[in-house]
Amino acid sequence: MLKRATIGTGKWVLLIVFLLWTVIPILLVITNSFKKAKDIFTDTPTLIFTPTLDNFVNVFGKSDFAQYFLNSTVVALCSTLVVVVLATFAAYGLTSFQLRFANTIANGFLVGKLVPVISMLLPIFVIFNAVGLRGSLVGPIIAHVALNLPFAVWLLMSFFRDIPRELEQAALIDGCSRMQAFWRVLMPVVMPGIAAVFILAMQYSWNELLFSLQLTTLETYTLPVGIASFVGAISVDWGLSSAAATLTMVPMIIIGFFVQKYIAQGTTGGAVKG
Amino acid sequence: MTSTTAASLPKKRHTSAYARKDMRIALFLILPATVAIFVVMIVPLVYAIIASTFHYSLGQEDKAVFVFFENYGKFFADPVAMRSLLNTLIFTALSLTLCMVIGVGISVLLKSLSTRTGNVLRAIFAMPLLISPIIVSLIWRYMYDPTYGLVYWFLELIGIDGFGGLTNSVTALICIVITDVWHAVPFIILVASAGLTVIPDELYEAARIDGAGAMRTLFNVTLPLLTKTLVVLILIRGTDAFRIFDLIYGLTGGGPANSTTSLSIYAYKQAYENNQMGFAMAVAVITLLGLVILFGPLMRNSARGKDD
Amino acid sequence: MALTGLTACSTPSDDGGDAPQSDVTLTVSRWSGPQADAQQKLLDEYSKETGVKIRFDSIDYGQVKQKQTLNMSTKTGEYDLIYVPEAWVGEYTDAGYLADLTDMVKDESLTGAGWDYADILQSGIDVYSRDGKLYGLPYFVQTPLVVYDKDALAAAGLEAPATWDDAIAVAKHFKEDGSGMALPFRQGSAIVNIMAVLLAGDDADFFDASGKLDLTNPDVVDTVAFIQELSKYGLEGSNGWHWDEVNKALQFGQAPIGITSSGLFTALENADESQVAGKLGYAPIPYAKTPAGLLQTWGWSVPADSKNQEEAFKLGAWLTSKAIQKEMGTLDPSFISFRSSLADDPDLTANAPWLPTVKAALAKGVTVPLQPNAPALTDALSAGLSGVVTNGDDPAKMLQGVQDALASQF
Repeated sequence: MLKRATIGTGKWVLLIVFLLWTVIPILLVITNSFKKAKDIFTDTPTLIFTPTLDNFVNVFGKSDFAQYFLNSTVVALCSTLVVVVLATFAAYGLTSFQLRFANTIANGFLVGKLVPVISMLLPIFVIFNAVGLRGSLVGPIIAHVALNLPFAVWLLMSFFRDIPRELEQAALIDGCSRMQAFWRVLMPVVMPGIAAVFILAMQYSWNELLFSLQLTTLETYTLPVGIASFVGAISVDWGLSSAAATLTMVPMIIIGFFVQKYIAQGTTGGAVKG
Repeated sequence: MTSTTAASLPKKRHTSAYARKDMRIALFLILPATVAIFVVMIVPLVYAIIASTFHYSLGQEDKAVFVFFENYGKFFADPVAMRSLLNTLIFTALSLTLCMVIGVGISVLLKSLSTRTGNVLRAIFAMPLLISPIIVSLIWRYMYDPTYGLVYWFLELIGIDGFGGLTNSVTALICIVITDVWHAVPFIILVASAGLTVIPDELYEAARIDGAGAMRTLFNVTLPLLTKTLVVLILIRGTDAFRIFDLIYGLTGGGPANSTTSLSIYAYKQAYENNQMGFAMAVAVITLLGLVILFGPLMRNSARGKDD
Repeated sequence: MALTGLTACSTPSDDGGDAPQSDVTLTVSRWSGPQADAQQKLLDEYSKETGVKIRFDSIDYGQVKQKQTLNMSTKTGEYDLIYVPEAWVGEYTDAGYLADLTDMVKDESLTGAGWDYADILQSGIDVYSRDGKLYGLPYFVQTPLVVYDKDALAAAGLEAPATWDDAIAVAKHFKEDGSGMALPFRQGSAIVNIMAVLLAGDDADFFDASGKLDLTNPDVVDTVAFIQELSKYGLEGSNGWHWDEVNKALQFGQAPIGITSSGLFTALENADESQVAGKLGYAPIPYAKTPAGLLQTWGWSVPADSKNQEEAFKLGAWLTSKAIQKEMGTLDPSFISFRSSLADDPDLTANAPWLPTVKAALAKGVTVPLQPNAPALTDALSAGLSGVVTNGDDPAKMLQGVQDALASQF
């Protein structure tokens, strides 16, 4: 009894400590966005200060923030949806069909992920420019899809492999085609994995800077480009960049909350008794 | 458990029409992803390998001089390069270990809570990952500053004085590890949480009936069944940590005295500050080889698919 | 079509049909920040006057060079006018990226009447010239200076430091008092910049008279030893600071004295933001023989692949004309131009009390080494200096190490 109680409190202590450690830097960013520069650079952290909305006003005044927001939404949504679809299909194809070359392709994907970004920039710029994609939102969308696919495919492969074979067999025996079995039986089971890939791919695309900046032009810049523009050559505008960061964080946090329940729902429980 | 999983069946020879149709479906499923990766990543890789045998600056490709493997020799002869390799290895080991231990630990703790509480907490814990890396490095640079920073204020509170922080050769790398862990642990938590859903509740029930305590359950039930997820996590997080760039660039720029220069920072400087593109490509290829050597064995095991 | 002709014909007070029309769109590339914000106003003015549309691509400094290089090397024609510092000029001209402006500066139809080429400081022209041809219009210069709180020094009975010994004495006094001198001694360009100024102030250089690397020269060793000594009295955290953090320490009263870059001075004298507005004094970096300064310059160049080279040049000439440079200096006091006629302008000096000091420092203005192999040198020195100030490495040994590693490249 006592042992259980101490484990109980120990658990909560750990969780609370982790909670504080997670949240404090984020609160710092948010509060900085309401402070003037002189309140940010004080000797001891101040909780009492006169808040100002200047930073938020200036974010919209000094940059095309609304346009960036729109562009980011398009790029993140499109690239994430494409990644989820392509990765789920590929993971299913690589794990459930006993292909001889499955391993080679899967390893090829991971090697693709290991390619250093420094060597990617110029070739991709040249290729995309040659096909007329420079300055279009399609450029970053394709780049983000390719950058996210390897981890997404590997992740989903591990989920597909955990599914008992009997599940698919039962559906096929019942008269389903391969794809029908996929949609009706397998997809619900790997949903936690898909949800995880969804939020991870989305946040990557939403926060990506290098390709979003180099493959586009003024009209197609995204939010990270806006945030980075508040970092000057020799100085950082802390109030402005904090405000821009806060605004950029909010959609991701909201989506995160929604996706949570799909990540943790248990689905195999009871489906097949081993 | 007597169920069989997809990867454990022997590979059959396909000859029937049904099997050929199967094959076509499989190809249709795999092709789009393969094409995307090939164009965006494999082509640049080939370009990088070829470029690494030349000596040239960005934009002056027509003046490139073929130097065969001289760039590779140059790397191993440069003490700064060797230092960057060491820094990268240390950083990867520390960050990966901390991330896995903390991430998996927290996921397990979360699973033991009620669904609502667990979901809310997990959503909050996911937040650091959702912030742009630019902001992560800015905010932690601010926090590590001896004059304005929260870290120093906190250390003073608990009585620690004279912490080297980002300006001490020894502690600088550790500070960056801490920032990286803060940023990347949510990734582990999210994926491990999804992976934990695969474990049937009956097993936990059985363990409880058997009288197993929390730690024994963790090591005998949870972790073994989480193996595939853990391997994927180590692969992804490990390779990401090895290639870290933005955080270090924003926090210290590689200093003090090259104590936080990683392979990626070293390559970046060669490419964009020293104008040695060929050499930078060689460093990039060396980085890739390092990754394959370190994580390759894990990849092979994972693909083969271990049975339960 | 002459620019002067257009403005003579148009009457801005009329609207609609009389406003100047142009189907030209120019794209300008530079780094973002307060200076860019001020420039936006000027560019809007130009658009109104000439009808030329301007796309102002001001982005994160860390990405500017990559984006300029990617576009110019692939000849996309994206940029018409680009902002270029002295450090990139050699690379850009070697690669053939920049258009030759030598003849355009002599053409009054492009520069406008009374542009006065001779008014531009020769040091600026030299920075942007290669093989006798001009590849950029010098626009903005900044240099590191010592900034100090006049009251704090007076209260301590000290004067603004002039020599190395003065500097040590002042810094030591404040360090023992609890603060110290704010120094940008992070591993990066700032500390190498300061070394360059110190060498110039000692009539020394990284190279000997024949251009060979000469780091083991006693003058150079003494300079690094001075840097090491000074760093002992640096404000806590200085070893990880860039110009920005030093500026903040001064701005918010944490540091009574520091070395920062003139490009950041506006914030210091801004009464709304600064705790020390109006209380600051400016002095050249401590010198062994003569005051010296660093020529950190930015200028406007026209990419060779631009499709609007003449129009772009016209915009560049307009920006570097006397009237517009004065206007820029009024919008942003940190903005210092290469126009000698503006150096003593009373209107500008009223808002920029540091102008006379800048002029004195730049009387002996040097640049960081600009040879093609120079970046490797500055990189090795910045790492070496960082080791000297944080780990207490021996200056002579450090310099010998860099000398041995890189002598063959010069």
